[in-house]
Amino acid sequence: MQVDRWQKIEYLFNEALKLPSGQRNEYLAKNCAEDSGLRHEVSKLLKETDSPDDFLSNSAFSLGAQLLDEEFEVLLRNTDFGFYQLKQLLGRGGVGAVFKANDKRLGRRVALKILPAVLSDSDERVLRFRQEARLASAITHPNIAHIYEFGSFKGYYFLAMEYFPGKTLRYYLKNKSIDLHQTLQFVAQIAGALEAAHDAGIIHRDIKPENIVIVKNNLVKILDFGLAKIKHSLKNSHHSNRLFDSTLITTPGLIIGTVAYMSPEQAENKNIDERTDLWSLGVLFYEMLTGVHPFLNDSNIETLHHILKEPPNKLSEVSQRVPQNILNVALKCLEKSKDNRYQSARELIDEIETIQKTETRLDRRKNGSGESRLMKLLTRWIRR
Amino acid sequence: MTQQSCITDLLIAWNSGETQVLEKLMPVVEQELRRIAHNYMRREHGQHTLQTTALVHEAYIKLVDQHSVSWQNREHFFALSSQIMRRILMKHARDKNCAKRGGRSQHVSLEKISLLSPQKNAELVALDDALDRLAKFDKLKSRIVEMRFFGGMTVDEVADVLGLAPITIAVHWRLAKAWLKSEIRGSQYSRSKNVSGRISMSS
Repeated sequence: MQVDRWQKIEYLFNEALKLPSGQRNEYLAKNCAEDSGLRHEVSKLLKETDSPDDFLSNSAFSLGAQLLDEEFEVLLRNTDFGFYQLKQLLGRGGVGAVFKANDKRLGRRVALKILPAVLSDSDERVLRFRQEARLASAITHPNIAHIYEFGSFKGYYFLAMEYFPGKTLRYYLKNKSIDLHQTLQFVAQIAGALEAAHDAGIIHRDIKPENIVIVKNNLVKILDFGLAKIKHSLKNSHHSNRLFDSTLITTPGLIIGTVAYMSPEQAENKNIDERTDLWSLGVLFYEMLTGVHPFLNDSNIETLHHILKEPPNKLSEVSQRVPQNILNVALKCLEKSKDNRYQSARELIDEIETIQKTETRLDRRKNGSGESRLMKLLTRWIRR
Repeated sequence: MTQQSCITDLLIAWNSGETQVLEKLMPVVEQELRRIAHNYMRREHGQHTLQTTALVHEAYIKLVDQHSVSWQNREHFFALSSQIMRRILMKHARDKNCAKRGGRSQHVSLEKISLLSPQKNAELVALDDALDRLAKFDKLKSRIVEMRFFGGMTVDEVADVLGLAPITIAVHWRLAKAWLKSEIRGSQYSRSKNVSGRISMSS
C-alpha cells in the first residue's frame, strides 16, 4: 500500500463516518468518481466498522500474561501429565488451572484441576487437602461433580473430576435467560446436593454462580466441593486476615465473586456451619428470581456492609413483580442470623417442593380455562 | 550501578536511536514481567487481574528511576511491554498453528496444550502478519494496535503515553481495526473451510 493512497482512504473513511449511514454511499460516489478501486476499498472498510464480529476489541493481554507465568507455562509445554493426557485449558483462577484431559488408563474424559506448586510447600496443607478430597470423593450425588482421584505428578497436586460440557450459572444470569420454573428447579437441585454433602459432614463454603454448571436438560452440577477450605488456608498463608487483605479491598470487581456470596458469619470470620451454604444459595436464589444481586455494591467494603447490615437491594421494587411466596423463601435463606434461616437443606427443599406442587395443581386446574396461574406469574416476571 | 539506573540509561539510549540496546533491554523487562505475573498467580488472583495494565505499571515502577525519566521513556517502556506480550503470545500461537497443520516435525513432537482454540490461533497468526504489513505504511496505527490489543491498554492510556488526544487515538484505532479485520478476512486462513465460521461474516 502506498502511503499517499492510504492517506486518501483514511480521509474518505473518516469523513464518511461523520455522515449518517444512509448518506455514505452517495458521499463516496461523489468523491471518488474517477477511482472505483478507491471507492470499493473505503466502502469495504466502512462495512467492517459496522460488523459486530470484533475480536480485536478483546485484548489478548491476559492470554499473553498467562504465558508470562513460567510455572504455568511448564504445564502447557507438554500434553503428558502422568496417566493423563491434557487436551485443553478450560479455565484458570482460584486454585490452579483446570484442563480437559484424557485418563489414558480408562480412556475416560476428565476435568483435571492442577494446583499451584506453592500448595505443596507445606506437608500439613497437603495432608489437609488430601483429607478433604477424600471426604468429597465419597459423596455420590447426581448434582455433584464426582471426584475420581487425588494425586501428584512432578510436584503438582491434582484432582481428577467428572467432566461435562455445559455453561456456568454465571452465563445464564448474564443472559437473563432463567425463568421462574428453572429458578425453582435449580434451587431444589443445589439444595439437594448440599443436603447430601452436609450429611457427609462437608460444607461447600464457596457456593457461587461460577461453581455451578448447567448441563443439558437443566441438570445442575456443583463443582469444587472440598476445595473451599483449602482455598481459605492458602489465602491465610499469604494474608493474616482475609477481611483486611488490601488486595481484596483496593481492587473493586476483582474478587467480588468471593465477597458477594459470603455469609455474614464468613464476613465476620466467625464459626461457620451448613447454614452458611444456605445463605449463599439464598443469594443465588434472589439473583435468579429478581435479576438483582441482593448485596453487591460499588466496592467490596460496601458489599460487606450490606451483607452484614442492610436488607437486600431493591427489595420493595422486586416485591411488586415477583411472587411473594417464592420471594419469602429466598428471603428466609438471607436472614442475617443463621438461627432464623432454614436450619437444613431439607427444610428448604420441602418448602420448594410445596410451592412446585401448588403451582402444578393450579396449573392443571386452570388449564383449558384461559391463562394458568403459573403463566400469569411468568408473564409478570418476564415483563419486569 | 543499580538495576534501576541501568534500565533507565538503556531506555534513554534506545529513545535516542541506539536500537542495539533493545537486545539488552528486552530480557530484563521480560524477566521482571514474568516475576510479577507469577506473583499475581501465587497470590491467588483470578485471571482478571492480568487484564489490567497493573502488571506493566508495576514493572515500570520497579525497573525505572522515576526522577530522570520523561514521558517518552514511559511511552517506550509501555510499547516495549506490548511488544514482549506480542512476541510471547505469537510464539505460542505459531507453534500451535504449525503443529496443527502437521508442519515441521520438531513442532509436532513438542506439541503444547493450547491456551487458544485453533480458530483463535489462526486468527492471531493472520493478525500478526497483517500488523507487520500495516507498520510499513502507517507505523502509528500499528503501534496503537500493538498497545491496545497486545498490551491491553485503554484508549486513554495509549493517548497518555503517545501524547495525543484520546479522540485521535480512537479515530486511528477505528480505521486500523477495520483494515486489519478486512485483511484477516481476505487472508488464506478464512478461505479454508474448516475454520471459516469464526471470522467469515454472513454478510
